[in-house]
Amino acid sequence: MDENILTIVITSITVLFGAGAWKFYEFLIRNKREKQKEDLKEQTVYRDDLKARVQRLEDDKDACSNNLLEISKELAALKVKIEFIEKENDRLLRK
Amino acid sequence: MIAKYFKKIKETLLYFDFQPLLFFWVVSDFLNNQVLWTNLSYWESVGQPNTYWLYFSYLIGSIGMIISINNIKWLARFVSYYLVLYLFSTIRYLVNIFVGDSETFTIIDVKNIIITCWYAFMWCWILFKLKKEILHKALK
Repeated sequence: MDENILTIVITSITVLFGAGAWKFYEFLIRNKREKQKEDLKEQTVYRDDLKARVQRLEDDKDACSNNLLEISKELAALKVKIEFIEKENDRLLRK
Repeated sequence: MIAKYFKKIKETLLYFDFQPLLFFWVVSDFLNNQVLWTNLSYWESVGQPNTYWLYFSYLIGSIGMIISINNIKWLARFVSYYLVLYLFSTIRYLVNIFVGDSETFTIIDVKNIIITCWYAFMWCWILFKLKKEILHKALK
């Protein structure tokens, strides 16, 4: 075989082999990155779920605090009323 | 201490940008190109007219790399082009040594084979780094 043709054939095989090896490497890297993205997505979903739960608990806590405040106010009013009634009752009994 | 030194060398080769080094290398390659210092008639007179055109092809590759040093995609294309030329020359040289008529295989041939293979490996490494950087940028 002519030396030039042999050179061209060997060069072509080398280039094709190199391109194939690069494509395989690219495939591996892309797969690895996809897996990393999926893992990250799972972590993000878990984090978002935790955030939502914390927000809901915070809202519940605010609502409970408001209710407690209302109950405390009503209790204080009732205490005052009971004291007044007790005093009035004592006064009437002494008469 | 020696292990630490080699670790640093490895990290430098892996993580540092190489475009400035490539730029200086290619400028040197461009200035050493025989097309600038000889003409076709000279190569015809020594019976190697194709060598002139091979050098001319190298010159195109060198100019392309200098021009596109800031554009990594085009730089990778020109490095690929240059590497194919270099592989062709290297394989041509090896074929000539192992298939050709030359009877003696001297120590000079061994030295030349090692040097030319080393340069081929260097261009492969440069192209791999460029392609890897392009790939990682695309994946971000």
